[in-house]
Parts: sequence; C-alpha cells; structure tokens
Amino acid sequence: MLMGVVYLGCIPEPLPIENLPKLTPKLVVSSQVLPGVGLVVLVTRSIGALDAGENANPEELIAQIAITDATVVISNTTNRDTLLNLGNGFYGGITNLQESAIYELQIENNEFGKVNAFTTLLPFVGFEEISADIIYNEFDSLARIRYTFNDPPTENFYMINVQRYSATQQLTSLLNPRIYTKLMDDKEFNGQTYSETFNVLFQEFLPGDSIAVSLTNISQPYYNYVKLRNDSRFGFSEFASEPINFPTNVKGGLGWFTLHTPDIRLFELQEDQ
Amino acid sequence: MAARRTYIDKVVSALGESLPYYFYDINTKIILKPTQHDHIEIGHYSGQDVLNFVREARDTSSNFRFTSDFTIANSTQTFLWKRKWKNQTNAVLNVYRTRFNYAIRNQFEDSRLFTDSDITDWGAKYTLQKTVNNKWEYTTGWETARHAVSPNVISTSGEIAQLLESSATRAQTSLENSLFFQADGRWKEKWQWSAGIRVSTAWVDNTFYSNPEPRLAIRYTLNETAALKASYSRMAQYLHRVSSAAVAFPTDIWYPVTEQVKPQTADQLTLAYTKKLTEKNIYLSVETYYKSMQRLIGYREGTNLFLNTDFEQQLIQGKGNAYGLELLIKKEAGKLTGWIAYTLSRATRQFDELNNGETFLARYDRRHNGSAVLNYALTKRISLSSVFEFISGSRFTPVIGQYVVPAPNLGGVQLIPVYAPVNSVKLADTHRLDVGVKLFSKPSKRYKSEWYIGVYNVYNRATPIGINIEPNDDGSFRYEQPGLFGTIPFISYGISF
Repeated sequence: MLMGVVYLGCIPEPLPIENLPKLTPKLVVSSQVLPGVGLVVLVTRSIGALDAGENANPEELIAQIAITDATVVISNTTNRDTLLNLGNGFYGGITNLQESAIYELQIENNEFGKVNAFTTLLPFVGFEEISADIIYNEFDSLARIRYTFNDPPTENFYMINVQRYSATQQLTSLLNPRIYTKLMDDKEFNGQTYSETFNVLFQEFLPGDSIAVSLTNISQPYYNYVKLRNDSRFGFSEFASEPINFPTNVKGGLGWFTLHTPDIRLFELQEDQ
Repeated sequence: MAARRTYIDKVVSALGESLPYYFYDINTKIILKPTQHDHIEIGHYSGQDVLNFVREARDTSSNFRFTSDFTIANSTQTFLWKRKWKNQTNAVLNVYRTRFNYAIRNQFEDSRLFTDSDITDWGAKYTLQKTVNNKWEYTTGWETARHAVSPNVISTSGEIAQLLESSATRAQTSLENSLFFQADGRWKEKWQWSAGIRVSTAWVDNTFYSNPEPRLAIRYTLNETAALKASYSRMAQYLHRVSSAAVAFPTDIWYPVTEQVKPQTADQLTLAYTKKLTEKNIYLSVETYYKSMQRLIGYREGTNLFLNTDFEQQLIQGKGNAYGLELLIKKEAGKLTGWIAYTLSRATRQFDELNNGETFLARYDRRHNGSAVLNYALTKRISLSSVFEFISGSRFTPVIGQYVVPAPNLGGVQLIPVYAPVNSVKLADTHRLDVGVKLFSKPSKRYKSEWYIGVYNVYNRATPIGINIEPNDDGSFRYEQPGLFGTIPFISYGISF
C-alpha cells in the first residue's frame, strides 16, 4: 500500500525536447478539376510542426497559410493561361483542358520565387451505376456501396472515397476529415466493366445521414502517394512514428499538381429494403 | 530454483487505479557431478510479460468493449557438460533450445486482429581446450544452430477482415554452422597473444553463405603495473533484427538471411592502456575502439512493419560505423570501493534509400554515458552506497513542419507532416541518483542477514518512456517525454544460511 501511494505521488515531471530544427517555409500546391467548373489551384505555405493540430480551426488555418499574391500560370504546347486570383489562396478559371495533354503549372511570388510542376489530364472515368444504403450487423449500422464502372483499355489507377457530408458541417470536422479511401489498379479487369460492393468500415451511419462517394481516375505517382498516406494510418502517431518524406511533383515546393476529374455522387442513406 | 513476479499491478489495483501490466519468470538449474572429471548442468528459464488492456464504452448499458492482450515470452532450456580429460585437456558440450515469441490479441465488437511472431532455435556447441605447455594453449570446436522463424502471422475476422486480410510471412528455417580455432600464448616475458579464426556458414532455402572471422589480440606488459592492449576481430551475422527506427517496441521482427538479404558483417579495432595502483587498490583503464559495419538492415520509408507480412521487399541494406573512448577507474579494496566509468562515443549509418543517401546518426548514438557506483563501509556492519548514472538522449526524427492539401474528395483539408533529417534531434538526457544503507547482522551469527534501505531516483527525474505532444496555452504544441517511475524509497531484507 505504501509503495502504491509513493508511486502515485512521485510521478516525475515530463522532460522537454529542445533544439528542434525549423522547416524553411515552402510553397505548397494543390489542384483539382471540378466537374462543370474548371481547374482550381490552392497555393499555401507550409507551417511549423507544432503550430497547429487536429483541433485547429480550418478557416483560420487557411487564412494563416494562404498565399494571395502569386502569379499562377498553366500551359501546354499550344496554350498558356494565367489563373484568376479567387482569394484565400485559390486560383482558377480555366475550363478547356484537353485530355491526355501534358500541362505545366508555374507559380511565382515574391516570398518563394518560382516553383513548377508537370502532369497529364487523365480521361474521366465515372460511375455507370452506383447505390448506397445502410446495413446492420450485430454491433453497427454500416454504409454499403454498390458500384459499376467501365475501365478503359489502358493502365489505370483508381481512388474511391466515401465521406460523411452535411450542409451544416462543423468546421472542425473539415480538418483531417474521416474519409474512407479505397485504392486499386486495373490489372485484373483492364478494359472491362468492373463491379464491387463494399462496406464503409469503422464509421456508424444512421438513416438520413448523407454521404459523398467519388470515383477518380488518378496517375500512378499520385496513387503511390495516397497509398503511402493510407499505409501510415496504422501508425500510432505521425509525430512519433516512422518518418516518411511524402513525395511531391512540385519542383521547389510541396504538394501535388494533379488534373483528376472526380465523379462525385451524393446520397441520403436509407435502410436496405 | 528461483521465481518472481512483479506485484505493482496489484498494489495499484488496490488503490482503485489500473496498471494492466506484470511480468514473471522462473529459473531452475540442476547441477550433477557424476565423476570427479564431469560436471553437468541442466537449466531452464521461462518468463513472460503480460499486458491486458480493456476499455469499456462510456455508455455502460452498451456491450461495447475493446480488449487488447499482449504477451511476450522467452524460454530457454540448456544442457551443459564439462569434462576434464587427461593431458590438460578440457571439453565442453552445450546443447540448448531457445524460444522467443509474442502474441497480440485485439478484439472490438466482431472484429478480431491477432498477430503472432515466433523464433525457435536449437543449437549445440562443442569446445575442446588443451594446454600444450606453459607457453601456449589452444581452443577448437564447432557450433551449429537451427533457426525456425515465423516472423509475422496476422489473423483477422469480422469487420476488420474486409480492410486487412489474414496473411503470414513465409516461415523460414536457416541452418548455421561454424568451425573455430584459437590459440593463446606468451612470447618472451612481456607479450601475450591470442589469435583465432572462425569460419561460419549459413544455409537458407537454396542460398549458401560463408564468412571467415579472424581475430587477434595482443597484450604488452609495460611494467609490473601497466599494460597496452590491441585487438582486431571480424564478425558475421546471419539473423537480422528488423526494428522500428522511431519507436522502441518489444515486437521487433527477426528475419534470417535470404537470397536478397545478405549477412551483416563488422570489423572492430580496439586499443587500450591499463594501470594498477597497487598500494591503493586502484585500477585504471583507457580504451578506444572503432567498428565498421556492412550490410546493416533497414527498410524503405513508409514501410509498415506492424501489420505487414510481405516486408522482405521493403528491406534495404546499408553501412555504419561506431567509435569511442572508454575510461574506467575502479577500487576494489578498502573502506571506499566502487568504480567510475565514462564513455564518449559516436555511431552513424548510411543507406542509399534513406535521408537522401546522406549519412545520419544512429538511433542509439548516445554521446555521453557515465556511471559512478560507490560503497563506503562506515563500520563492519554498516555500509553506504550510491549509484549515479548519466546517458545522453537517443536520437529521433521529429515532425518539423506541416502543410495543407485538400482531402481526396474535396470534403475538407488534410495536414501532411514534414520530417526533419533522420535522427537529427536528441531526446532528453537520462540521469538519476540512488542512495542506500546496508545493515549487516553480527558476523558470529549462524544465519546471516542484511537490511538494505534506500531511495531510488533521489531527485525524482523522469526516466523517459515515450514522446508526447502537449498543447501550450497559446494554441501551439510542444514535444515532451513522460517518465514512468520517480522517487521510490525501498527496503529489503535478505537472509542466508
């Protein structure tokens, strides 16, 4: 008993870890083709490791890191367009992107100088059929997704995402949102129609919940990058797990310049009839 | 025969708290002397660390419960036979079996995730030692070991099986054999030498490796109280320990050499000076060493070892070196006895696939390592003791930056970490002071006893056991290392008869 009292009373103060190196801030690039809208590029700066965590306010975070004075140019062999500054680090406007063309993105600003990246606009691959409902097992109510799509007769890589969606979504849930991501290649169904049914694991859904399901035809380097992110999810903590230098295709910066066009479908879940 | 079990978990439980960890071990030995020339020992050791973690749902009316059981077990059985032959020849036969295994059992609702790893060795070693004359003797023999390795078996069922299928790393059996010969002798009055060669081999599947392992040690007596020593040795290793670079887990994986994974080798040089101050019973030693290692094991960035059964393709091999200076002063007689030791060292690694191919400090590059153990006999029945230990923090690779990218389906943003160069940051130093006093029973008594009373970790400094991220008041965060045990007074009583 005495030992226990002494043990509980004398737990020592933690020791600080000092002399942490500071990352030289870098320019970060993200891009997305929005169906029916065009290309949007997000230009931000990197931040210190201990400056923000999962509880940070996403709006405040974006405001802190957004680069609003950059010149963003996208070009291929025949065209060159300067994107409009949409505010808060977003630049966009171009709509006439050509499938299978190689594009270069150049970004320049006073703080970081120039960075650039290359990518190819991949063909759009969308759902031929898709449905989503709720199934019940002994413990949970899960979202079940059934889908079909036609795979082009080329080497392709796909990403399927399922995320809870709400018109009144809490801002805090937009930072590191819980997204269920499936990655696959088409080695076993190249050039064929592919169908699958899967359950969204480790999230409970109720009738009336809304979800967004997307299918995206992605490049192999981006597939490898997302796979690396997915595999590291088994780490106990990114801050104390195996160090990973995530790849980037941005020369002189961080992030990814991609020209993927997702097929996004929204569902309000109901029980399987 | 000896057995022990920790009981701190029971003490903490009695106070209403939970410490779901304990360990126990059993050690037995039988010694037989069938003849005056034969000495036989049969031994057994087994021990187990047990961690049982249960987390109930907040809603006590629900059946939700997460359980995690983690056990690590070791067992060793040995047979030792020493025989004295005629003509100053001695033989030793050692036969052993060892087993190390761990098992993790996680269960949540209908999901089960079981992980098992096992390595079992059977081995034998025969050594023959003969004294030829008063100038030299030799030792020769052979050794064999069979390693049966099942590095990682993952079994899943329930919901989690849709995410992670059951799988197993291919079990492997490797056979190691070696022959060795060593001669020890004197030359003139001042030189002592020891020279040997060991030829080791390993056979796994259809792959065969062999390595010569020469060694040489020389001692030159400067005078009655001082000597110089120098040595060289080469070692080969055919079983690799694959461990996390960032987090120390007891679940490290053992993996034998294969066609792709080559044996590790190391060359070591040492140089030492020793001096004895006879009148004061003080012994001094200064030693320096240099070690060069080849084909060290590492793994590619992003490799998930924990739930991965196909990690051989992720293994990489590189090189490293280590060098240092060791100082020792020891006093073995008089009222004050003990020793003070200090080591200054540096260890580096280089892998083409890591850290952009640049050399980096090893995880256990702990620059300063010192200890002072002192005992002072106040009287014949009372002695004071103190132990001070200091060791520099080990190295780790922190996250030094983050950047934001949109989530893959545009439903938010994700924070992506940026890491510092590998092992570029030193963790907190570890040091502590223990003091104690021993009270011995009267020498005339038939039964001898002693009381030992003291305090462990007098100034309550944390002995780090991990790394935490803690929030600051301004919304930022800081790294810190928590400790498990602080100041602990102790009292023990021993009796011998």
